[in-house]
Amino acid sequence: MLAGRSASRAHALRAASHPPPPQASGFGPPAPSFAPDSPSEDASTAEAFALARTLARVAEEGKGGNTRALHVAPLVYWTRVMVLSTVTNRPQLRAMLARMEAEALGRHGATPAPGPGPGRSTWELLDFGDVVVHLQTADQRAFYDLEGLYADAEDIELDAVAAQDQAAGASYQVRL
Amino acid sequence: MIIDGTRLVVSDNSGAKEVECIKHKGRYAAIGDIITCAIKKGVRNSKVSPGQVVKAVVVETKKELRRPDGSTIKFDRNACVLVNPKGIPIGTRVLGFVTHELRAKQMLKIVSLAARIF
Repeated sequence: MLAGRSASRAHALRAASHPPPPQASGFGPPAPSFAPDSPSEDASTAEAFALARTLARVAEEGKGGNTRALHVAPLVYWTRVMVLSTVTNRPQLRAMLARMEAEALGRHGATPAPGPGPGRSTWELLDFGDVVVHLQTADQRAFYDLEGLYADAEDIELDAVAAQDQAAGASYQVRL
Repeated sequence: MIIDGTRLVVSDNSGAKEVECIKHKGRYAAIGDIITCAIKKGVRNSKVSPGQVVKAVVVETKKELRRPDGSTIKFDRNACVLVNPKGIPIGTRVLGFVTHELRAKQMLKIVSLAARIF
């Protein structure tokens, strides 16, 4: 049938334009796939990027060190962005968690997944679905080496935060 | 279905290879439950040693796990990941499979360290 022939040709054309992802070798998440995103995917990714930039800004304001945001969507399916930041002590970790929850709710209307709350550990995380925040002390960050595990993920530009805040007319003040 | 006496394979790089469940909550433990284990086999000069009592999270079971959409998933072995009393994994990498049911049970740290999530 003509419809069947055109459908199979469309399938072949689609297969040619979207090659299968390269085979992963060894341990670690699979290599990034290069299939283009749909418009809805682009919108969800943009929202995740915006939330990640907000959380990264909160981390920087709370004197979190070496803050990075990794775009892990090509590697894993369960989240889009991972934000990593280093804290020096547990009071700072708790304060940063509380501020992140408040900022995410105030600016983006996002709430983290319910959990037992910050315990006595030096590695805590916030799960916003598309964005996962990891707050660790320096020794924990070096020990677990999440950046090494997701080495194929691309860094999200965080310098856009300053320009974004200037455009939005941020009201927070820098204390000297 | 993990009960007292069940031997589980350790699917992380903590150094332990095989543990035996000695305590669980309820009638049996399933994927995502925390159990108390005694290490039976391990690698020398590692963070844990045979005879040590540790906590572990069950990540694979031979008994099938039903999902809300009606599908089931089961594995060829019973496996677990060792955690400390604060719930942080003792190893730095999870080498076997984990399921996304762990996310619903607030065990995203284990999911973050895993390479194969199903």
